Amino acid sequence: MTGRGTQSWPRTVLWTAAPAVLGLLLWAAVAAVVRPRAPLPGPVETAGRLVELLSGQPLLDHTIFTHAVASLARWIVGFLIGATVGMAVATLIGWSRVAERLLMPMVYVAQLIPGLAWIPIAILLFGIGNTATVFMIVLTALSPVAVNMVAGLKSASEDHLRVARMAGARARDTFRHVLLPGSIPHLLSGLRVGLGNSWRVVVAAEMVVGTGTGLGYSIIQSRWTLDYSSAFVCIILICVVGLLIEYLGFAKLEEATIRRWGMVQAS
Amino acid sequence: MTLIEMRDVGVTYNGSEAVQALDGVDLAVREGEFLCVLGPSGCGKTTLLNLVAGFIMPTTGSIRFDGRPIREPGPDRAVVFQDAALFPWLSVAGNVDVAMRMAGRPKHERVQTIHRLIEMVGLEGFENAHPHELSGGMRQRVAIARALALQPRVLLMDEPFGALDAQTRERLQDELLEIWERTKKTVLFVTHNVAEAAYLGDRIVVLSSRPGTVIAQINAGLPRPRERLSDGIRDLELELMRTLPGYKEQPTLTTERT
Ligand SMILES: Nc1ncnc2c1ncn2[C@@H]1O[C@H](COP(=O)(O)OP(=O)(O)O)[C@@H](O)[C@H]1O
Ligand SMILES: [Mg+2]
Repeated sequence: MTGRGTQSWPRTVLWTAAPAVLGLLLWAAVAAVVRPRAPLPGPVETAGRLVELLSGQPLLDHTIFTHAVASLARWIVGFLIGATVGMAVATLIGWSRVAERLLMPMVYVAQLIPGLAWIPIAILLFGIGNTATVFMIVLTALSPVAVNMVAGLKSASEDHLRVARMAGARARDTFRHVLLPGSIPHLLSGLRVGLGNSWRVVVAAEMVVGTGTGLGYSIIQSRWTLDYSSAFVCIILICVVGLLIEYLGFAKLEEATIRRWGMVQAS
Repeated sequence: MTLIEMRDVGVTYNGSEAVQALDGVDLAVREGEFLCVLGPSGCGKTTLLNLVAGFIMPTTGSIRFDGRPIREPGPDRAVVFQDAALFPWLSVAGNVDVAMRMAGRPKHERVQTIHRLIEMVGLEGFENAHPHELSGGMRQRVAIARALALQPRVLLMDEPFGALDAQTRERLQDELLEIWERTKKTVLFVTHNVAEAAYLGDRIVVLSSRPGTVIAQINAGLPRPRERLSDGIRDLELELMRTLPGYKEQPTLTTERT
């Protein structure tokens, strides 16, 4: 990595900006080609609309901030519930053989079901609205958190378990002092996956479950209002949040944990 | 007094094919002695320690600790693992502490013990360091402190210095002898290194290649502190080497000094 790692900052900036510029050019080109037949907004129109919306112009009776905050709130609440339940389920599975036999297959299968497949059940249980959306987010976040944490609990080394055994540890203490801390690197990657997946599901669920607010709701409503540039603004905001999750959220924490937990040698 | 007694002990691992690791091992460890078990790699040394630790049960024969059969692991038999086996998420002090916590020791006792032991193994100032920040030798010191924290009656040491460079190894050997003399703990020390066994042991038990059986028990009969390059040690090393499996008499013999 020496060649790439040590390149000067103007080059770094260039290589970071280049894909963005390329993307914008492609977008502008497609818009220009399609324009005669369909009112596809290009980057310039979208930027204009972005400025308007950020300065507080209403979109579907609310400001863009209200929509963004509504999506973020559903996401955070759903994720927190899902992650908490996921960790509880993993703890139960790690603790008891019977629980493992009973719950693990369910968790595993649940992981294979796309979050949106729960839409009919969510609407059936909770009707159209906020609760149904949050329900889907909970289900989406739960599985990766549970599956990864279980993997973490199972990753305890034989020697570490033997340290607990030679100390004469009770099962409870072995769990608390050896299994649980040992599972944290896996748990963090489960949380990261759950966080990303549930963000995608928030946006998609809002489109279907008709929540009245939210970025996903705003995008889907542009079908009727023909306000496509607002839809693009929402897509951009969704990307920004996604990028923040990827790069700010857990990456640093995970890196530090993995180093400390000795999963890679510190260089 | 005999602290550990193995009678006709055999261990067979039942994997995809059965592997007999130990066969007919008779061994007595006396209270307070420094006993080395010397044998080639794969001869069953770790297996032997695991038996005494209570991690595994013998396939045949019996093992008694202080007169009672060994049924499970316990803090009276503390192990120093080959690769330290520290918890990477805990500091030096945390690793020593957690062993005592799991053993159910009260807080005030733990606080006192931690600092005394960290000082004993020469790690003052590193209380808050994490294992990945330590050298291999320092990690083994922590492992020794952790084992002592359990107040065991015997220290079971599985080639604890095997992965260290020669200089560090000799230093740790000396420090271990100091600790042993200070605490008067029984030590059962396993190694494949002739020089190490000769330098450390009151007695040296030599195992054959797999399946391991006892092929010699040699009293070191050397006064302490010992001199590494002394004639006494050289003679003992030679004697040990002659008993080891695969030994061939050579015209000019250079003693291994790893
Ligand atoms: N859990 C196990 N299952 C099967 N074979 C094993 C197991 N542990 C050790 N062995 C085998 O038993 C023999 C003795 O192993 P070990 O006691 O680790 O030897 P040493 O510590 O002297 O190198 C080796 O051949 C090893 O491959
Ligand atoms: Mg071994």
